Formats: sequence, C-alpha cells, structure tokens
Amino acid sequence: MRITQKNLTRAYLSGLNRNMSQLSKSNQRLSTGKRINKVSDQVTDAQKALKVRNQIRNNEQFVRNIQSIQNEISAQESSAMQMNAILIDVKELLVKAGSGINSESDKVIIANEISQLNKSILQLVNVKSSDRYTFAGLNNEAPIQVDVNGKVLFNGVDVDDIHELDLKDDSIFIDIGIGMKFESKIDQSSVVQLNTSAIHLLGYGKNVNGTPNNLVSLLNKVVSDLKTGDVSQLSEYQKQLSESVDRVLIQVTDIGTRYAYLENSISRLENEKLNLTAQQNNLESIDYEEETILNKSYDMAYQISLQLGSKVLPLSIFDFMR
Amino acid sequence: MRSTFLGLETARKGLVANQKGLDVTGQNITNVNTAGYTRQRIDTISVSSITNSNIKPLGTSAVGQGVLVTGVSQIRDKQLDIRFRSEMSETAYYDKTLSILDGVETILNEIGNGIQPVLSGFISSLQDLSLYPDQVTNANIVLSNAKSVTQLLRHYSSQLDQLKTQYNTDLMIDVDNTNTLIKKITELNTAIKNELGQSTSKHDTSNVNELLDIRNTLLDQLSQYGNISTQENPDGSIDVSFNEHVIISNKFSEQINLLTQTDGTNRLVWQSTGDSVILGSGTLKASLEFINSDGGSINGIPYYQKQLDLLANRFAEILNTSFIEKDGTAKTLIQIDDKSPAHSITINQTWLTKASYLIDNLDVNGSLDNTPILSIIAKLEGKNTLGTFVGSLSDFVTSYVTTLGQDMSYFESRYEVSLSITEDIQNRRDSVSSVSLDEEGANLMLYDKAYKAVSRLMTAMDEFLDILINKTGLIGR
Repeated sequence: MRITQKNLTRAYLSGLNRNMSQLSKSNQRLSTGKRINKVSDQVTDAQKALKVRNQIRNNEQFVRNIQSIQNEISAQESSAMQMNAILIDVKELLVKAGSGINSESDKVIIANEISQLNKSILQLVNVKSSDRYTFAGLNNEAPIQVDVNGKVLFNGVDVDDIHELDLKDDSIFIDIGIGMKFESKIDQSSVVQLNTSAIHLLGYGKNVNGTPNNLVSLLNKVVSDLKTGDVSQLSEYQKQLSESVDRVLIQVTDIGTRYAYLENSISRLENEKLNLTAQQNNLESIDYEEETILNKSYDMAYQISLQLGSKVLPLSIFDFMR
Repeated sequence: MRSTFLGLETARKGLVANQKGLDVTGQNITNVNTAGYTRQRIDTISVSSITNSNIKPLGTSAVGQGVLVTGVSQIRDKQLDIRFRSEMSETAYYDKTLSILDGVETILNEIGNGIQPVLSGFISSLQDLSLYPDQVTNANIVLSNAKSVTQLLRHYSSQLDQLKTQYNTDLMIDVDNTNTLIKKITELNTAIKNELGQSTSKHDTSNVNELLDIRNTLLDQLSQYGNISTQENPDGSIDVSFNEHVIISNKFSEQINLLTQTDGTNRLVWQSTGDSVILGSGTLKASLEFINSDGGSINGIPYYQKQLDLLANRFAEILNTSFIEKDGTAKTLIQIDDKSPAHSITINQTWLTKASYLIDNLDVNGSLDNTPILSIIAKLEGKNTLGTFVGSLSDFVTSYVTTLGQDMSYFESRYEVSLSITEDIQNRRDSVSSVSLDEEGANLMLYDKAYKAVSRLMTAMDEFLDILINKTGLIGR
C-alpha cells in the first residue's frame, strides 16, 4: 500500500483522539468516583443501580416509620400493663366486698376505693403521648368520656348500647415495607396496625344478663350498687371483671407481639440496607486501585502519542537533496 | 529520409515534456495539504513514426520523433468514492442520532439527579403524613414535595420541547445546505461540460482536473445528508440520485422543501413532485426520524415526551381519585390538560393556597384515618399500566431511561463500526489519491535530470549541425 503524508497524519490524529477520549472518560470516573455517569455508560448496571437506589430510599423511610411508631406502641403497652395492675386491686376489693363480713359503711369505703381506681382507669385510657391519644381510634379525641348522667361514651355513643355490627373498623395502619397492597381497601396483612382502640381494650355492649361489658361502665355499676349496699349482683360482676382482665391481657399480648414484630422488622431492614449499600457500591462506585492504574496507562499512552507527534511526519527525500 | 532538423525537434519535445513534468510535480507539492486535491500525473507517449498508412512506409528514417504530452490525469479510484460516500452517509446518520439521543439523555439524567428521587421524596412525605395525618406541618411537606414532582415534569417536558426546536432548526439548516450543494454541483456540471466540449480529446480532463476535485468534494459533502448514487455521463457531467430519486441530471436540479405539519411533525418533500423524501441514511433521515417518531421502531424525542405524559397523567389520576370528600366526590389535587399532560401539570389552586386542603375533611371517618394517604402510596408503588409497561411509577422511569440507554449504546456501537469503516476507506483513498512528498521529490529529481539530459541532447544536435553547416566541405581551404 502506498503511504502518503496524509495517511500518516490522519492515522496519528485518530489515534491521539482515541487516547485522549479514553483518558478523559477515565478522568471523569476518577473525579466523580462513579462507574456510571449516564445510563448509556453501563445500561444493565445502571438499571440495577436505579432500582437499588430506590430500595435504599424506601428502606430508610420504613426504618423512620417504625422508629416513630415504636414509641406509640410502647406507650400503649405500659398503659395497658398499669391498667392490668389496677384491675388486680379491683378484683381483690370485689372479693372483699362479697365476703359478707362488711358493714354498710365498709361497703361505701370499698365503693369509694373502686371509684378512685375507676377514675385511674379512665385517665389511663385517655392518656396522650406526643400528639396522639394513646388508645384513640380514627378520631384524635379522648376516646372514653363520662357524661353528666354518668353514662360512659365512646365517640359520643353509650358504650353499653354498642353492638358488634355497629362497630366501625377504626384501625390505623402503617406501611413498614412488607409490600403494602390496596385494592378498594388496605390489605391488612400487608401493613402493621398502629393503634389499640379503647373500645377493644375496655369492651362494649352488654352480656345476656344485661350487665355491661365495658370496664368503666361495669365499675360504675359496682360502685353504685355497693353504695346502696346491694351485693346481689356481685358474683355476676366478678365474672364480668375477669372477662375484662382477660380482654386487657389479650390486648397487652397483642401490643407486645406487634412491638416485637417491629423490632424484628427494624433489624431486617438494617440488614437489607447493608446488603443494598454493598450492592450500590459494587454497581456504582469505581475500584480506585484499578481505575488509577488504568488512568496511568491511558495517560502514558497519551503522552507517548504526543511525543510521537513531533516525529509523525518523518524526513522526506527533500531533506537529503543537494 | 530523415529530415535534417529532426534531432532538434525531438530535443525540443523532450524539454517541453520534462518542463511539464516539473510543472505537475510543482502542482502536486504545493497542493499537498489542499483538501480534496487529487494527485496529478503527466501522461506521455513516445511519438509514433507512422503518420499515414496510405503512403509508403518511411522505414527507419522517421524513428526518433521523441515524446508527446497527451494530458494531465488524476489518479483516483471511483470504486472507493462510491464506497466512501455510502459509508459516509451511514456514519452521518448514526452521528446525528447519537447527538439527538445524547441531548435527551442529558435532560432525563436519572443517574445524576432525576425524577425518581423527587417521587421518592413525595412518597416519603406521604409516609410521614400517614403517621400523623392530622398535622398540618406534615401536609405542608407533602404539598411542597408534590410541587417538586409537577415542576420537574414541566421542566423536563419544556426542555424536550426546546431540544426538538433546536434539532428542527438544525434540520432546516441541513435542508438548506443540501439544496445549496445540489445547485453547486449542477453549476459545476455545466462548467465541466463546457470546458470539455472545447477539449480535443474526450478523455483528456487536463483542464478540468481542479473542477473535478471540487465536484468530488461537494459530492462527499452531499453524501452526509443522504445516501447518494452517481452516474457519469460521456460529456463529463454527473447524474446524482438521492436514494433512487434523481436530483441532478443534465440541467435538472431537484430541491427539498421542509414542511411542518399541524401535528408538529416534519415532512420533507421534493420540490418537483411534492412526494415525500424517503432516504436510506444520512443526517436528514436521522433528524426526521428522531424529531417525529414517538415509538415503534424508533424512539425519538416525542417518544420520551409521551412517557412523561403517561407519568404525569397517572400521577394526577392517582392523586385526584384518592381523597374522597363527605359528598362522595374526590378532591381535585392536580390540574392537568389532557392535550399535553406533562407540559401542563400543576397543583390545583385550592391546594396550592392551603396546604391543609389535603387533610381537611379527612375526618369523614376520623382525623387519624390515613387510608387515603396509604392508598396513594400503594398506588404509586403498585401496579400501574402505562402504555405497555406495568409496575410502579418509579420503575416506569427506570424502564424508559433504560430504553434510552440501550438505544444509545446500540447506536454508539453502530457508529463506531461505521466510523472505522469510513476511516479505513478514507485511508485507502488517501493512499491512492493524496500526494506523497517522497514520490514528488523523486519525480522532481527525475524530471530535473531528464531535462538536463535533453538539454545535452540538444547541444549534441546543435554541434552536429554546426559541424554539418559550418565545417563540412571546407577541406583544403
């Protein structure tokens, strides 16, 4: 093949360009620390990297969600435990009242004690932690109220008159990253329940004998009976009281289970985050050692090309003519 | 009979030929860096002693008539020209394609900072609101995050519009250039034809070599705009076709018109017939495809606008159907114009002026009811059908930027291949047609030496004649 000056310069320039563009790409990778600066640099890796970034952002949010509701749930737990302790006292007082050795005045004293404890229960059920009533349903209001006539109200409705069917679902759910699904309503298995409703904690409606299921209402009845010296219903009340204790205990267990589940979830999410961050590093970050060595060799190639530049047009026959 | 002065005439012809040789060498050396210059060579023949076959052969008496310069020709491989031009239009096609896609990728750069972090931010603010749905501060954050989403969508959309306008202008310039090139080549055709008409020999291009170089350069340039084919005519002119459509023939020269249609797409038509210009490659084809095509085999700028529109529409749809008022109607949170969703998406004025509009009346069931908020999150992250895509909005973004990346790397590799072929052919063309200084140096010495030798020949002839004329027959004087 005939080689002319033009061939030489063209070959030289295209080589120089190639070396320079390799060097500049490597410089960009080194200065950003990233393997991928555009999706087209590494399409499949970029696609994965975008997914991983999204997962990391979600993961962080879920951890934040759990951390903020853990406080709520532990507040529920401690209140419910206190309530349980009070109920043990109430139970003892009821036994005492039914022992048959009490005078009328003793009964009044017991009634007053129970009444005090009932007030404590009412306070506990209406306690507020941060901005939320601990045992609120969907309304952020004191859940159980006693009106002037001594009627116990939940959301303005007499608890004794509430039937199973009337009861709205007042659960509040939180997304903690277990694949929340929503099709016309939230799939409860895909979320975690945040609240413990006062109405489930204290009970509602009446049993077959017409005795209130609700703890506060029940104790009101006990107090008024004892004040008039009527002890005929005491065994019925004791039975209902142990139902109430069971109800509180069920909720305590439920709260405890949820709390433990959240703890587990946090450690799961933290593990996941470690994995994701490692993946992100693999996908997005450069291997500095490798890239530095590559950069050095690109730089070397470029410098050699430059040095070659002064010799690209070799001596021609003209340099030897006399 | 040999004529007396034959030797002198022979020497004169030799001097002329070698002088011409030096002239051509000089022309080559001086044009060593001229773009499009084809090296020239002097064509010489030895003069035949046979002048007329009708008369009696002259025998050896007419031998030694010397050298004749028949012309100056160009050294050029027409096959390489054809291959170069066809590959050039491929390379130009991929080059233009890459430049447009690169523009799109710069706008929709999810790796740097894109719409995904903004969507995540919005979802994050909804998650926070879902924990305390009755708090106006949280609602405020949701509003500002929703604003970011709508602003970014509008920003992207208008940037894509600008990109389209920019490449529209480019296309207009390209069409103008093409038309100018066609005119120039037609003019050169006429000039070459006229010059050659006066020439004695049909094949002697000596006096049009420079014009041929210009025409070849123009044809090379024209091949960037579309795939051309050429047909040389005996009169020296050249017929040119753009993808089988004749654009230059004899005195006819075609022009291309750019029409912008009502739907915003562009069309190129031939001035003579009004038919659409259909090209196989070149920048005109690339611009046209990537300005017009909204999907199918080519994902042009409108395709990405369509993806943004799908995204904007779905976003608005989810937000506008999730918060149900007491009377059963849904709150309109996002305002959108169906004709250009991504371009027009904004926050509804009511919400914009009052952040708590979002959570007002949330207490249809109770102020802590976060169901609508969770439903938005679930829908944004759940299965959405957007065109052929099914999945979360964030994955949808990944999907279209991946399409873009794949297209780019495909065209990049095609470009690399095509470019290296073009460079290779260019190299071969240089190898055939460009000036080699060594060669010219050698020629310089060759003609120089030959000139000197011929001068000696003339001196020798002169001395013979001197002896014959002045010294012959003087014996005994």
